[in-house]
Amino acid sequence: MIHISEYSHNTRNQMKSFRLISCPIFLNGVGVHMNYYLKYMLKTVIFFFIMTILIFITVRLMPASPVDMLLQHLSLPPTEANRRELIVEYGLDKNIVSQYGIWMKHILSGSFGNSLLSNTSIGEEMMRRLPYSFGLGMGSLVLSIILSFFLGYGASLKKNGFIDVFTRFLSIFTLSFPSFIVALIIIYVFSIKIPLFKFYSGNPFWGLFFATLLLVFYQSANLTRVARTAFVTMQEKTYVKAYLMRGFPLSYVLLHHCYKPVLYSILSASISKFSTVIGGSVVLEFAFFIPGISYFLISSIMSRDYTVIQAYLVILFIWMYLVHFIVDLLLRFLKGRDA
Amino acid sequence: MYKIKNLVTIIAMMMLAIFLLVGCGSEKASKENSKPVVIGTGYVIDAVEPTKGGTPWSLTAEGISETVFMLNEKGQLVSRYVEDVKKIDSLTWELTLKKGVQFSDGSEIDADAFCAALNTVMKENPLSNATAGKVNFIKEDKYKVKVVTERETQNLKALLVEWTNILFKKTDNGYVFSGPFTIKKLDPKVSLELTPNKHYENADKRGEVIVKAFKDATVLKMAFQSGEVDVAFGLTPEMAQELKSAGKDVQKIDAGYQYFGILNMDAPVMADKKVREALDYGLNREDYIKALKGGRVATGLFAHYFEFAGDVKLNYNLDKAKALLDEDGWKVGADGIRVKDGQKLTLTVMTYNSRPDLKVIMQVMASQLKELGIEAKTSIVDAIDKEAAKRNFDIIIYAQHTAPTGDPSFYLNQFYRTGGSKNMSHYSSPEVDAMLNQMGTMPYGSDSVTLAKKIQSKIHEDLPVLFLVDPEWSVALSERMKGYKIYSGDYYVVNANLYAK
Repeated sequence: MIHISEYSHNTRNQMKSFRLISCPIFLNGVGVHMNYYLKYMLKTVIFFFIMTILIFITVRLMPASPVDMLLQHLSLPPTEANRRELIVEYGLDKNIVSQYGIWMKHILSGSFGNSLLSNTSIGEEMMRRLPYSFGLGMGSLVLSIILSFFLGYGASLKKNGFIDVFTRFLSIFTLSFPSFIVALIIIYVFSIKIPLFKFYSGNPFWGLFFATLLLVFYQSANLTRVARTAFVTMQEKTYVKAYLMRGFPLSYVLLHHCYKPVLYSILSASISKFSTVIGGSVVLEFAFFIPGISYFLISSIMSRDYTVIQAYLVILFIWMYLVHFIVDLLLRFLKGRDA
Repeated sequence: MYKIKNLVTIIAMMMLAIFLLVGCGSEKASKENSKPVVIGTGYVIDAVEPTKGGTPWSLTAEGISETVFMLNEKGQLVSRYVEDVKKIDSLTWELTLKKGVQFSDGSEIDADAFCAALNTVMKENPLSNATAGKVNFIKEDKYKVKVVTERETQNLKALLVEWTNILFKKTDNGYVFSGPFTIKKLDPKVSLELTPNKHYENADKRGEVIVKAFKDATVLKMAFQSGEVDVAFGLTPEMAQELKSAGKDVQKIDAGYQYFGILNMDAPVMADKKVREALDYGLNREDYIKALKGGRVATGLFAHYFEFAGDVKLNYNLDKAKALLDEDGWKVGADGIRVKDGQKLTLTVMTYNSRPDLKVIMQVMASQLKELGIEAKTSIVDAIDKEAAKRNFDIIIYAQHTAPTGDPSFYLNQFYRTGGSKNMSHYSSPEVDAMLNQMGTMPYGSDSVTLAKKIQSKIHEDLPVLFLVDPEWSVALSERMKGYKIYSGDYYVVNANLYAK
């Protein structure tokens, strides 16, 4: 039997040594260190260029071109002359390699170039809209992770207790009831029936507030069940049983000695949700009139504005690459012998 | 545990503080915004580039710019800028400009400004060259302009009402225009704040306007119900009905657009005139109007308020339609679908996303076809013109504003002339071609109006197209916007009659 102070000491040491081994930041030895980073950087650069080529090609494979969509929108005949004029105007007459080269020049300069159709700066547009979408997506995800940790903890303490039943209900509800409908109900109740909030005039605070609330509600419903399962699994661990036999309350042991494996499970389950942080909350942005990136993106997709769609996909790729990198580090940190 | 409790308390207090602070802020903002008229629609401009793509169309639709001629509510062409149009020879015209008309910065729109704007349009926007080639505007004196076209046109006014031909001036602070409003603030594709153009007639009667883009009609309806939108444009028929039942002021407006069914004359089944006739008799247009909760049965290819609108009377007769198919050898099979020489009577019906009414018509049409013993394969695409070029269709349900320039010839030539640029039916009639040629040589007037009606009758006789619906769209108006009229579909959503109340 391990004494509690020994366990804590051992675990801390194990965690420390694990970090030192697995995380390149803590590697000793300059040669290994440099080699690792050079390889990593090279891989990243190659991967980035492959992805940009794939993005560039995929966007151009979309059925119907911006020229077709604009001519249709303006009720103009798709004659060869009309098509030709627009193809030249949009620079689509250049060969595909030079089009890619021009686009990459804009991407690498960080400006992302101009919208093919409106000639507005994509970089400026993105910067104006990203804070809303990113704030909504990231804020709700972080809050969901925190909330699901505590709700999962509460649910695991008492099987079929109030929190357990409540979170199960939440999970089923969110799976069966689309968030857009709930958003409309909120608007109907709080804006039409009891006019407490204004969603469509003034600043977008209330829209952002309720959209965040809804996203937290929907995301945490799923993550809570993950957290609960992880907490329940932890209760079967030998060292947890040892604590309990020594008289420590379960609530104390789970919260103070099992949080890392549980966070590990929640973070693992959250990775896919990070992809929705930028532009993944389209319906809520539409419902609450939040001037986020979705507005820009959807109309750009409808009009096949190649440069905007490409810029969005590159941003999403960079974001997900960063997320994977950071979450990977976090998971390595959290991964102890209990995970 | 104690630490966690503390943390929770701190977070709760911080959220409450932010809540109160921003809550007060939003209340203040809402008070400030209570004055402007808020128009909810589906689209807001994304740029102020007067020669770029479709931007000039949006600038005019949102009350910022104006074309040289505009359509009024009766479908007539009027101009704030041109007093007289005189034809000199087949390619040359002379315009006399009105004196004292100004841009929003107060500078006069004289011949210099007029020519500068339109020559820039002709040079920088290739779509402006579609009708008469590159048109050259030459100053003759301060208020006289010579217009030289590359190709002959019979109606210069109609050319000058085309959406590309807006008046504007480039200044150090950007572009200035001549519409009833000027831009105060633009959040591209999301919202547009407008302030009255002080140099436009009756400027003091106008107040500030905010145009907001709603991507979902349900949300637009709710924004209207909550009192945050004064004019809701782009409601579905069901929503309009719902608002009307709730006692709201919902007005029908003439769309100007026409809904029609293009028949593919190359398709084996559609090449058979008896089948086309059967469709014309067997499709009850009243059902579409019921489903769309408004509109009129089409009498031709133009909206009823144009003097050149057709006067064809469609007769729904299901029995006659069935008899025609029977006569043609299409006998009803065991499964209710007609068969001829072992081949089932199946039609491919297509439409596209950007006009939701068309999808409603397609659904109703599919059930009507079934009643006739015809199997319908339906599909909805994004780029219908591109699909049409593939020729894999029997019927395309299409919408177009058939006379945005107040002249019938452009549309008729595009769709029904042999080899016309949008002749998706591949219709060819020497008689129609001859009439179109004749129309091309006469100035717009009563003779061309009569000819336009005759062409529509002939087209109905030949049936390369099914006349379907002359639609009405719905606009919900708040109490203070009572009487405001949007007309010509989505061409003049914010117009000079938008007065503050």
